[in-house]
Amino acid sequence: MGSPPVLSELEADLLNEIFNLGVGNAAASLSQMVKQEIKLSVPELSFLSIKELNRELGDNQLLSCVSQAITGAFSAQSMVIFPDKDSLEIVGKLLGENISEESLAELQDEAMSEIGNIVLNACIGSLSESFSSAFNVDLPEYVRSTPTDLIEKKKLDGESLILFIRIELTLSESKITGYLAFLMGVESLSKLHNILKETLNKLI
Amino acid sequence: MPDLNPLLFQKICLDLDTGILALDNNYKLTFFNKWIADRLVFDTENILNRNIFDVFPEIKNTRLESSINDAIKMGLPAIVSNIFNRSPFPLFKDKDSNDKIFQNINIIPIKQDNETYVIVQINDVSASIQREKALEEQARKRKKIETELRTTLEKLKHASAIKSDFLASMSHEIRTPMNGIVGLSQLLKKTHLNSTQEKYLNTIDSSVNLLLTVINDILDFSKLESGKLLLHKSDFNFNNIVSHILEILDPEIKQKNLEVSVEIDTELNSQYIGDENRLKQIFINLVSNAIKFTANGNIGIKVQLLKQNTNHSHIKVTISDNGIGIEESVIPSLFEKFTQADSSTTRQYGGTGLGLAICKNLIVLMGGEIGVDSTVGKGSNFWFEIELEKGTDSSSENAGNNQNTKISEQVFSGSILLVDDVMVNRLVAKSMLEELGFDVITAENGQEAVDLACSQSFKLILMDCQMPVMDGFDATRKIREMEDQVHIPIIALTALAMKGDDKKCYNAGMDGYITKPYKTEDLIAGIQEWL
Repeated sequence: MGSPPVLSELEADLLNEIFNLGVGNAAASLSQMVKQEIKLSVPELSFLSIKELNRELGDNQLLSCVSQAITGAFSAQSMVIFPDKDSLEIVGKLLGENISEESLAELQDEAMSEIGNIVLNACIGSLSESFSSAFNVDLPEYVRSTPTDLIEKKKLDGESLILFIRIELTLSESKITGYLAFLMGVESLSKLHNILKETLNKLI
Repeated sequence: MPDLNPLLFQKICLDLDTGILALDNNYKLTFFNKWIADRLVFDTENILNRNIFDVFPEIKNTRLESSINDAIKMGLPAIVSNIFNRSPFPLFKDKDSNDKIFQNINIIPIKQDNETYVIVQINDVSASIQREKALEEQARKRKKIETELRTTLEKLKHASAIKSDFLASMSHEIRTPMNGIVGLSQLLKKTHLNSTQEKYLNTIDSSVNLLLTVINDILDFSKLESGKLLLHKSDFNFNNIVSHILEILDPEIKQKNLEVSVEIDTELNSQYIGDENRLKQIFINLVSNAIKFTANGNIGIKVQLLKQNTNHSHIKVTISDNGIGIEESVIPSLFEKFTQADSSTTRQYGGTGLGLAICKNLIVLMGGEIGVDSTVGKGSNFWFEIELEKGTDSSSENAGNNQNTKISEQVFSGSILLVDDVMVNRLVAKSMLEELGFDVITAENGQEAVDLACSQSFKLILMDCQMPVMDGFDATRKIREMEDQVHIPIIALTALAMKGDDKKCYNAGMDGYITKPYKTEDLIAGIQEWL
């Protein structure tokens, strides 16, 4: 397993800020789309191994996950993850009260794909703007599975590390915790680290 | 797709069953396929090379606009589902239609020679949305039907409650005149009659008994149905039950010249706890059915101990006959109300068809099981199984002997106050009581009774409940208030025979309860304890 990059305080701050900008934009888009106030914040950012990710996500918990592969200045499998039951609550609140439970379950996949796409695009866009570097991005893919199966499906090797970002979504008096995860190989991680350094150098 | 000739791409896309349009990085519409042209209501001739937001002003300020922006500026692909915006593009089912189609849209940026193009793919999802809507509608209808059913059920419950009330008042209205008939025919028997008169009187008697059974069956059944019938547990003995019911049914058995064999396991010769009267009722029902449907031959009564532990015994009772038997196909409905094995036999054999339904309900109430095995032409075995708690074994034989004492031979004395507003009822009761040896003083309402109770002493008061001036409940309360040390037994003598009526009497301060119509034996049984 690769060891996580040791980011300086400034580098970590910058990365945090990039994601804060991203989810802020996503919240604005979502709010406009569903005409409700939605807040998104990034309280915490860390690097995890696959094992740690499993633990963090609760080994057997069913997850609702939207992923988009990105290639460019660095490559990663970007993901937005919510516990499945919470994702149902999000969709329910966004669509309003007049919807039956059956239809809600049917709409969950499509709605979550779109919400995930908005959040990921905003974050990738923020990375892209901050690093002045465009990414090739795939269309979103929706998966519902346990953490173990999720990793399996993304065919990650043991060397992979995960840039793991806890996000908090607040809508109509509920606070729901979800996660952003960028699954990267060691090489991509060091590329990311370098870009952060360069960007800081330009700024200072 | 760097290697694909743009013309070839256009040719491929032209006839696809999905909408394709392409934009260059200046937001200019560079291509749209036939699918889109077919669904636009305006002229498509001049829209090429125009800004997409000019061609489709309705997508401004929507997520579609920002997604197209993100795709062109940053190469970000997007999906725009119908969930949050049903129909972003003004596309219609057909040229003359007002129905916009529901769209799922993919926005795919393509980089070529440092330029970004955007392909917008539009899928028509109207059909699946309509299917979902139809399902929703179905669910809504189902809920509506559920609500309607619930309302109907409430109405039915209400109707059933009205039925019960009606039966209660019917019960009272029927019992009062019946009391006159039963009592007076009994008294008439003791006068000098010629043989024809005696024959007529016996017929009146048996008709009245039949009518009473029918009324009691209907009342029992309505109580069972509404869950209002309660079991009254006491110690009893199977030998006594069987000999008692055989005594009651003796005339019918003799009339048909039937043989009855009784077989009771010797282990069952002890006391059990249960509702003796209801068990008798079940026995009488089953045995009289056997008598009714057997022209000549045998009837067997068998009581078996199947298993037992320290406190409980599992008992099986079988009533067998070699009568007409029952078709297998009607057996399942046999224990339903108003059912007889063959409706055409109704005339031949008579009956309300409630007997077996009552038996079944009683057995179920006792936690048991009832059934029948039968062969047409050979006969039937009706059986029931119940688990009974063992009773305290006070010499059961003595209990039996007591019951067999001929009550009508007993002689009484002392004075009794008889309170009833109906003249016939007073006449019946007074004659019966005088016959037994009592002195009888009568009162016509509660007030008279209270006055008499103040001025004279009585061994016992027989009190009707519903009376003008002052009813029996108030009169009882008044008498109880006045009496100091001597407690006069007050027994209700009433046609109120529904559940809870007895409680009302006890609450008012009465000691016992006799329902009309009654025979001399019933009267004695009801007052004996208090003398």
